[in-house]
Amino acid sequence: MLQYTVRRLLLAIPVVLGIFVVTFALARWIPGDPCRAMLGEKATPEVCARFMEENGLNDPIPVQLVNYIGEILRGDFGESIRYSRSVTEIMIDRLPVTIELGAFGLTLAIVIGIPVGVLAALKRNSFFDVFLMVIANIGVSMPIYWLALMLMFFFATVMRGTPFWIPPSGRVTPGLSPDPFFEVFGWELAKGSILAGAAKFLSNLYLFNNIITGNWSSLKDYLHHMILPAVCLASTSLLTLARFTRSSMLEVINQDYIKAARAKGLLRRAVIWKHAFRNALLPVITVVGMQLSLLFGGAVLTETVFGLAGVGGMMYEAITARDFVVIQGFTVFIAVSFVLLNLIVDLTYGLIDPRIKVE
Amino acid sequence: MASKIKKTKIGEKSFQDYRQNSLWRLTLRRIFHQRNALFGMGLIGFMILIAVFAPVIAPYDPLQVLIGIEDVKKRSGPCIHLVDPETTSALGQQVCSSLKGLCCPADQPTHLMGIDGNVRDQFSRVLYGARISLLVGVVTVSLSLTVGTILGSLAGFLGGRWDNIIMRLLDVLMAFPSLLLMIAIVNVLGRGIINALLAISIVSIPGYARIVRASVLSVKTNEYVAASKALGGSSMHVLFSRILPNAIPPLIVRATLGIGGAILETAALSFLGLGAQPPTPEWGTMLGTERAQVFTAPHLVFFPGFAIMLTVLGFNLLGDGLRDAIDPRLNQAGND
Repeated sequence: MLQYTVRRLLLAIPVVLGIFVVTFALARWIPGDPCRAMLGEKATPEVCARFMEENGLNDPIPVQLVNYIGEILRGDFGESIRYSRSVTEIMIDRLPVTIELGAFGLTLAIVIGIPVGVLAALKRNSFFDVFLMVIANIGVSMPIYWLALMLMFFFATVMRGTPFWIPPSGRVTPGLSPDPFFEVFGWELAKGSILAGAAKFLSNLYLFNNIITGNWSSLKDYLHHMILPAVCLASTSLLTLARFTRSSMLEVINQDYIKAARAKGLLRRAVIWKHAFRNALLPVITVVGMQLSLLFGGAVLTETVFGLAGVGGMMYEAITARDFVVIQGFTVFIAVSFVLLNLIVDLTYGLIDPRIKVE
Repeated sequence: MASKIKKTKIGEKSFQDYRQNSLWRLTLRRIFHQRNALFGMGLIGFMILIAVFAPVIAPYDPLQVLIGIEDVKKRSGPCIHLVDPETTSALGQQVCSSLKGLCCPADQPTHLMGIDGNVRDQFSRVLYGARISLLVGVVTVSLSLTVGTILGSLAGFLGGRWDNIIMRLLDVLMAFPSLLLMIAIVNVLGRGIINALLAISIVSIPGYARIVRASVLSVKTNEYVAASKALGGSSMHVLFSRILPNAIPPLIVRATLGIGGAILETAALSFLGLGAQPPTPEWGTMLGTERAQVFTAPHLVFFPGFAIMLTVLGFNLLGDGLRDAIDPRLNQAGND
């Protein structure tokens, strides 16, 4: 396993370097003067000359590339001129929102999608199966932001005044933002230190923060707000997983060893869950891994619609404000995170299926 | 001599049999037995008809602002003269009270999908939207299919160092979440439908290249390829006439599903303000510009989104059907 892990890690290095080169190239390809692209059309030639010098934009391209990679490895993703903050600081604020939303979405997709797929396979061609397949086909063809807007309209406008009303936007009711746990516990953290950054990051994970501080009213309010975004984000992945689990299960059920297990007199339940499901799950895990990238795309759109201040919402703001630095910084950070996430998925796969390691 | 003719006849007959059972005929026959695929084809056909005949069907110019031409308010709901508003029948009154759009006053002009935020006829705009979406879907897939096929076949055919370089480059492209890379590319190229189209094409290239490479690798070592080489066929001839035709079936499936995906992605970029710019009647742009009005004018959000869904559903159903028809083994396993 160690050898396999090391090999996978080594293989990831060129990809990460490639990502650096691609984002660097994209940053340099911005048409026109990079100074005016960053500072705006009103920048004077003197200001521009200083800007070019300060940012090393007059250096030869290979030097710029090496400097760029060095900066990223030191955790410096640039400075947003519009927000007058570093991209890293913005990320500490925004990333937890997306991580929690993504986790809710993925959990929903797995917890509902996989059992529903198994059930559909076991009851093949029943009303439930046909209904599920129709819904799955429609669901994966639906623009996620459209579903989000329609659900928003239904639950916030049509259901107004009923117990089914759900707040249409925001992360919590204004004024109900939970106090960060380090303030509740009275911790003194040096401003700007790594520890303070980490504490701030963790406190922005509202689920974690509310549980650790025992702030149940805020937790309830938060979860209430997250229902619609999580359902929207989960929708496509949930249906894809259900469809895939169904076909994977059907493939396994027809195998001889399942018939043999049944013929041996094993209980149907035992055969389904111990023999069939375990084997059907292997390809499903790959699909779960593939959903991560889609979930991120979904998060950009979902956060935009629901007004959540996550990475996706930030990307939208940056697009509207033409904040190139933020877009570049986020792009490289997210892409590298995805390489790491996929690496973890691959390693898990190796743990579950011993054949992988040998290959 | 007689026996010779007889032999040829037997040969001809079996050759015809073979032709009748060619992959394409079998696939077509299977497709026509699949309800889902037929429904998908129907949807696509319907959308193509709408796109082609949009100027004939649309009651208004999609860009025409109706201020001063008609007495309509901005973002007013659909007005369909289906029930007489003065009706005395109980059913009619019930319909009128719940769905006001079905029996709007006789002096109001008909607007099937209402009026948008700039006082334009929403129905005409949705109809014209089909033109842009279908065109974008087909062009994007053609672009990425062409480049992907070239890169994939070169990687598989040349092998060795070239294979490594090409595939590692494509791996880097695949490492990005697709929407993120599209945003980053449009961010550089500048917003607009053409740049969005380019971004989506670039991001989809690796998918096609991988399929082609896999097919080339699996076929390359076959004896008929060696025979073709031994007969003096040039590398290009062997690649294009002997190897690549084997990659076509999976490519067709991928491309059909890809058109649906490209339509969804273009609409998403337009929704974010990166694709088609207003006043272009593009479905994603229409949704994006009116999304804040969903609580007061849901019709402006509902119809463009529904149109996207129908079109994408058509391509998805056809793509799934094609996959099952080309590879019936999957169907036996229950992928219906």
